[in-house]
Amino acid sequence: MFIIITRQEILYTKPNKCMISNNLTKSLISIVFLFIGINCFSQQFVISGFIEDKTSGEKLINAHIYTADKKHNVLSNNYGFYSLEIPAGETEIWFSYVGFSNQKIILNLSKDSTLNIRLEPNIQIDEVLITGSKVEKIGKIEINPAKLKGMPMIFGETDILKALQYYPGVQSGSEGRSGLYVRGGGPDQNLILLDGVPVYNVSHLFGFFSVFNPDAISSVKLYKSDVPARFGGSLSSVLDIQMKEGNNKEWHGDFTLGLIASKLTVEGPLKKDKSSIIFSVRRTYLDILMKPFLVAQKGQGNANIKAGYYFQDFNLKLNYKFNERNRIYLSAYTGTDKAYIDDESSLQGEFITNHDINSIKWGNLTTVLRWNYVFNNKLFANTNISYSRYKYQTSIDSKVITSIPAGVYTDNSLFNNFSGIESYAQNTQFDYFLNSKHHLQFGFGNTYFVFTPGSISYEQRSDMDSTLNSKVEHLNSNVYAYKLSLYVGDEINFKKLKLQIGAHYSGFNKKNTYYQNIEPRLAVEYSVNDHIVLYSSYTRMAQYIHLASNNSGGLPTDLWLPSTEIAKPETSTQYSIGMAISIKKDFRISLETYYKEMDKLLGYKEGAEYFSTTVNWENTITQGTGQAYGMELLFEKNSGKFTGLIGYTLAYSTRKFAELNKGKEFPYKYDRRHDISIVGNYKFNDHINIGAVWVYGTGNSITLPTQRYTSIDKMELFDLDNMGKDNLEYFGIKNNFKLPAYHRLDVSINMTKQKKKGIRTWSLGAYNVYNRQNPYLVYTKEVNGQKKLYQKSLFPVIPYFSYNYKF
Amino acid sequence: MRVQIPHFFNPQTFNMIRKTILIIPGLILCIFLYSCEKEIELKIDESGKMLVVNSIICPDSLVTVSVSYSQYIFGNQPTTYVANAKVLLFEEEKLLDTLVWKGKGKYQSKHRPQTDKNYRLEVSDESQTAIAKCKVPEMVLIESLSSETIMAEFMRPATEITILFKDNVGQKNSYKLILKGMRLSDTWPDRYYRIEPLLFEYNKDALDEQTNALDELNDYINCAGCSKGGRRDLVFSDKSFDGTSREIVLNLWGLALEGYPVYIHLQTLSEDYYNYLYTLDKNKAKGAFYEPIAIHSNIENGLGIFAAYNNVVDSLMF
Repeated sequence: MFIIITRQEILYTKPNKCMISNNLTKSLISIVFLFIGINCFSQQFVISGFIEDKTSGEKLINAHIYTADKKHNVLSNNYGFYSLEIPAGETEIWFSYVGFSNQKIILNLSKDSTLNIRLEPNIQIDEVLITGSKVEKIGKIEINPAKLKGMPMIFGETDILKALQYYPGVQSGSEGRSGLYVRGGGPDQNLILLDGVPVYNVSHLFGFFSVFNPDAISSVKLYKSDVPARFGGSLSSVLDIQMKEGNNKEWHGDFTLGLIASKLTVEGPLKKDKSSIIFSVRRTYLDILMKPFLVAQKGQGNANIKAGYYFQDFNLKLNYKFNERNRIYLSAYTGTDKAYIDDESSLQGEFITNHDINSIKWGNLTTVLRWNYVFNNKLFANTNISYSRYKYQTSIDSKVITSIPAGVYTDNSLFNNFSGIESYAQNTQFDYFLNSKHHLQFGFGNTYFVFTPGSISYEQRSDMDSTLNSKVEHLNSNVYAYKLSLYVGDEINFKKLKLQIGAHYSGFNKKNTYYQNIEPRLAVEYSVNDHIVLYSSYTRMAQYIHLASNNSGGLPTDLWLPSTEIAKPETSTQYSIGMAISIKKDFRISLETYYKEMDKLLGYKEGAEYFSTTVNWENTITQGTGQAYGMELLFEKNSGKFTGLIGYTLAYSTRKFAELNKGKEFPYKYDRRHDISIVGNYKFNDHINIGAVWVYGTGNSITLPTQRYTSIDKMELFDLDNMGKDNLEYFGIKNNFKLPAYHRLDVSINMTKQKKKGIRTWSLGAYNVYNRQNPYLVYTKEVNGQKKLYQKSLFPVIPYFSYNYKF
Repeated sequence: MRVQIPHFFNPQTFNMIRKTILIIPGLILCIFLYSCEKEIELKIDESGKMLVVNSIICPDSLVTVSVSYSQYIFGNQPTTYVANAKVLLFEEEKLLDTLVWKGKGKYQSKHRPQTDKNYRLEVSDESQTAIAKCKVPEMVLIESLSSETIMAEFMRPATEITILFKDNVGQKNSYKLILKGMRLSDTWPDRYYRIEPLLFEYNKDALDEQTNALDELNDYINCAGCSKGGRRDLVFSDKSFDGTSREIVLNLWGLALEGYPVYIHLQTLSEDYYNYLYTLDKNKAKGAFYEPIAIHSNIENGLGIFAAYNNVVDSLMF
């Protein structure tokens, strides 16, 4: 049947028993896709199966499977499943994945077969062979653990979102702002999925850390253009993150002790080769570090203040393989950020004690149950049921304790303000590998949203005067909405030409209003030769939930809101064209240009208050259009002793709102003309590597006044002799200035040593080495009667070290 | 006597809560912001001086125009008035008057504007000409007035005044309401009674949604011995009651002075005037947690406002 040529393991092989249903499905879909010229004249057979890591059993996503003549090739899907139709007779098949040794087998097929492959990790990254026509386009960034290893660590870990921001077209906004800004879009225009579940807030500590613990992540894909039909719901990008499944061979662990945070990951088999578990926890201890400073404060009076901030994450994933066809997964993530001030003070000779506990708390909770089912060697299905929640809460708990001879009396008031979003979803996706030319994906999804745009409750209790006892709830009633998705897409492979064609239908219902959109997708890829690929794409996207985000603070108080009569669904249309060149085995150059139009973008009206508890959010927003275009250039070296990249983006992004800037076009706040990243990592030997990152970005746009002039003060209308002062500011056009450029250098050194029972790594480094004071906030201030412009910066140079031990 | 039920979520309490909420994110920011401040320089064009023309006209008064220059944002000079400007007033596109310099940037006409007429202003200095237009709106009539003594929030006696007026049909109108009455002037040593705007408050929850009233057109003004203040005027539009009769209930801050009248001024504002007051109001609440706002201006080639109102006055005797 087949001949083993190199290191490979064939785990399971048997004739296909589902030929009848296979043929029936094939026939139906063949009719549907007749117009695209499907044909199956020559005798062909199918090999299918899963590709996984030999040492851990982890499924390998987007592994490349191809015949030696490159005429037939396919990528494994998000669950490691592949199916490839090849001609009868002797055929040489290659299996390749970054960070793993390539494997080759020669098959001589006379019938359809199942072939599960286990690839062996390649410890020597310089030996990694990145092969074939699997082009890495700038519009689609893929990061897997092997690639992450080649990136410098900051604070002892390689943060997923920071790693993405090194690539062209992806910005961080600015210091202290969370989220990703992709190709002129806002942070709400990215659909961020963790194991297929949307995560609504992706940052801890004002964007300093992402909520994704890299130890628990197996693959990261960011689609900036060329978005597959199965995704919908965001204007600018889709970030698809898959958690590790857990080692199903043996138990392993990994812990890191750092200056700011520590974490622990443990994974292992619950039942060898059948079931595994992985869990990961992480917590910061800024709150503990701050305690000594706050104790010093106590000495200055009778106040006892405790304050702090921390965040914590917990990831869990379980899976169980019932048989070769059925596998289920349960994964969950929960993360919390909390800042608090606990202030206790005594008054009037200790008779009265005030005790105030003020806190803000925010975080995500996601959970998903997933079922993979292999119908036959061509049809694979994944169904998931998921829940995701983001919640923000402010609490003010005040107590006044009065101690008098008659007794101790307590007056207590508790104020709560909370907002958030919840979604309950079901998604079913089918992968149908029709033949060597067609890989179809189709499916449907239902999502039920519950929005809590902002609610307040107040409770008062008094021991001294019970007539003051009261409880008031001022609830902005929850808003419920439903979203339907249907999609179909086909990846069509010809010898040199590859097409990706599809459409995504989305419908959104809120009360009795129904919005719908058809989002066509088209991508064309042409291989000029083995080294040069030209490609182009057309992507239309629609977005039904909006983020009312404050422009200044980047605080977690941003509100997720549904589409309404006033805030209609946002849409975008993007065109891109590019080329990728591979030079030698490990060096790539990619260039892509794009043009994107966005409609019904959400913006705050002039003068709107971000934290208003009294004004309905719909009265503070307005909708308009946007345009973004630019060019992205990437030089990347993925293997060898030296790995790294140089990314450059030239970008323009504008907005136009009827109610803003007198209806005239103005630059987007994050209209960053030039953006440069230089990332390098050098591995001296197996024990020591050093890394450095330098990033540069044109400053953000800001609206600043240029002139002052006198007003008619309404109080002075009755006194025409004093008709005003120079108290008004003239702004000219909106976002008329650029802040100073953002740049910083981070360095790290990692020292690794093999110990008896594991590997330990010391990481030392510094963030913002040359202490660049990057602007976070700009404002005017009067000093000695002279108004001047000032800026605040967040993060100075921050040295760090961490200790990591893998066992 | 009617007793007003205390309502926890009144505007003042809400503002207090809102400010309290802001303390918390503010404190977090402080952790990071402390000691990271520095002065920066951005290239802001120091030239670009513009003519500033300010004039609010009404049929009760002679047309008066203030003309000055704008100055560089970081400049520290007092207002520069334009003494040699040529200020022309046109009525229905016919030259009505050339305004006369009265000092301190003021130019005055010998004419009063008339209801429902269009006016154009042309202001020129040696190098620039600023132009603006406005129309004097029609006045509306107050249909009825009534008053009652009530116990306001926190068992505070107050005079409640109810004003009923009819909005003109098919027009986009906006209004400003001012109450005037006899008050003791506290300017020591000259203590005397005089007629001046009275402080009042209104049920914000009831009025805002229906009239699109400006929230804090005046900052709450503290008065001696009061824990909170009232407001001196109320600006609102007819967005939700176009062409119908509208009742507005206001509480004087305290009781009306016995034996003296309270004058109710109901002004109909031109659209530009309303937009100017609206943006001026929003501009007051600027800061890190507000979106910047450009002050409305209808002056071509310049800054400022040329707008109109019409005034109807009625009174209640106490």
